[in-house]
Amino acid sequence: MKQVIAVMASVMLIGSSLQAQNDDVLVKITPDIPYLYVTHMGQKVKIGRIQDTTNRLTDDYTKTSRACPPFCIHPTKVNDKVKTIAEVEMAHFLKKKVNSGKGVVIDARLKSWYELETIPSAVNIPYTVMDSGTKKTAEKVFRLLGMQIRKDGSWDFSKAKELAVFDNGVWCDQSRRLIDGLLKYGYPAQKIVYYRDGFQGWKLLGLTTVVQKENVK
Amino acid sequence: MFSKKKRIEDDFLLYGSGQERPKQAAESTTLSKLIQLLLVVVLLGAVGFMGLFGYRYMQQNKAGDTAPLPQPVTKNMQSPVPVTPANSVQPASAQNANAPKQRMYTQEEMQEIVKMLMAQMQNSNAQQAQVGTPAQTAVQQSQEQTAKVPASKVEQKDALVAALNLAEVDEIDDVEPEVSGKVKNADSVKAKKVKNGKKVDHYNKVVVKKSANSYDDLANLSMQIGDIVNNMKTKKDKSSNYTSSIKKEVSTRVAEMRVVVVKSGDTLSKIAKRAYGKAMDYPRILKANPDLIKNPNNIYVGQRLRVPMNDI
Repeated sequence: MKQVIAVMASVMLIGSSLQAQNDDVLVKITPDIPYLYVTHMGQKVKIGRIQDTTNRLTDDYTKTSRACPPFCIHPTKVNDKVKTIAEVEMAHFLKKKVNSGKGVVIDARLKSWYELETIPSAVNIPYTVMDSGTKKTAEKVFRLLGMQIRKDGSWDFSKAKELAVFDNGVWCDQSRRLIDGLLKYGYPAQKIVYYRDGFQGWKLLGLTTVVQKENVK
Repeated sequence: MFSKKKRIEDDFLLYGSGQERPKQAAESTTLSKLIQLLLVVVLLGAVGFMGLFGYRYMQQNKAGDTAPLPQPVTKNMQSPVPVTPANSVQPASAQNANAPKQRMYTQEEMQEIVKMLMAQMQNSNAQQAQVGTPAQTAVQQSQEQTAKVPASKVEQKDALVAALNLAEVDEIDDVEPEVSGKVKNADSVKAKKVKNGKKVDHYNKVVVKKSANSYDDLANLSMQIGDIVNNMKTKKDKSSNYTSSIKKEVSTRVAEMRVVVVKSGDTLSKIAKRAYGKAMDYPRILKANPDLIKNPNNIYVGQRLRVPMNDI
């Protein structure tokens, strides 16, 4: 009898601890994704949100106004054929596509931006690579992204990775420029999505970021 | 009591019947009255006894160290790691003169302070709030007190009470450059926080160190694309206008995301001096780290503070 009680008690304990673990995350990414894991430069990074519900943005990424032009608010779509996504789709993209190697998050900003702070797992392809680079450069980049060259010399994108392209956010033109360049050299539009809220949207929701070059004093 | 109700019921039943209710026995009335009287006497006696006893109890408490109000202060004075009000060096020279006095409160002095505080508490509730709170929670409410203390200080006629208030002013001025011996205190705060599991990450940034040993496919891809980008000596491209504008925005970003890692011996004002050149610029750090406003002492070694640069 005692054993039965002990077993029941332990089952209840385990159950409650599991429950507690789930409830520990007050601020989840989506109702069913409290947090997720990716790797950045080989380092495992847990992506979650800031758990303090009283937390507010401070000086960090809160600038409201920049001269327009050139920093104008972008329409929802950057291109008719390219789908625009938001944070929830990004979470799913990271979980399913990035972790299985089928997709890559692309930071379209200049390297200096990327090194300061970026979305975990993001790979930097500055828009200038496509904007001012040659077809040869594009070929090198595309091959790294899974593009294959057929015997007749044409480019086969059937195994190319899906790309989720982002920049600083709605005021930033760097994604559009990169996406235009990718399309110009033939990257299929259905393999590109545009995360319009970009890095500022990511920060606004208190999501985890990675820093490679820190301005520490 | 019950008999009265019964009488009324009887009267109601007998009304108009021509009969009269039989007279109540005199004894029962007197008996109930007697019981009531006895109860009142017993109650009065109890109240009187309690009053007397309570008064004596309070008298005893006044004489001893165990009065609830001053205890935190006494503790502070005697603790091995003194909390800043007693320990810290004061900024103004006038206050410096007072510093040793504050440090060496004797038992008698403390008792006097306690007595005075008790007397003031009895005077009025308003005064109680003003004198009571600072003594109890000097650290937590230092921000609010900045405004309150000078006003109440004028009213204090007694030197010891004034000295006590000065101690709180000192606590508020904790962020002055001369303040030392704080890090021990800060360490204990940190230890407590971690133990309670209350430490919340307001930063949510992961610093990634590049180490080729642990590279996975994604890291390799990132590095290879990085190589292409680095090797591509860009000619002046057609979008150079935009590029130069966006490059300017980077410097804004660099300025606003500057981070200071708290070192041993640091105070907010020291950090402000290091970051802005002026110790008095510490409110800027508070603004960028709102969780510090509640308790500016709550910094610990290794903490990452946002310290935005001036030119943004």
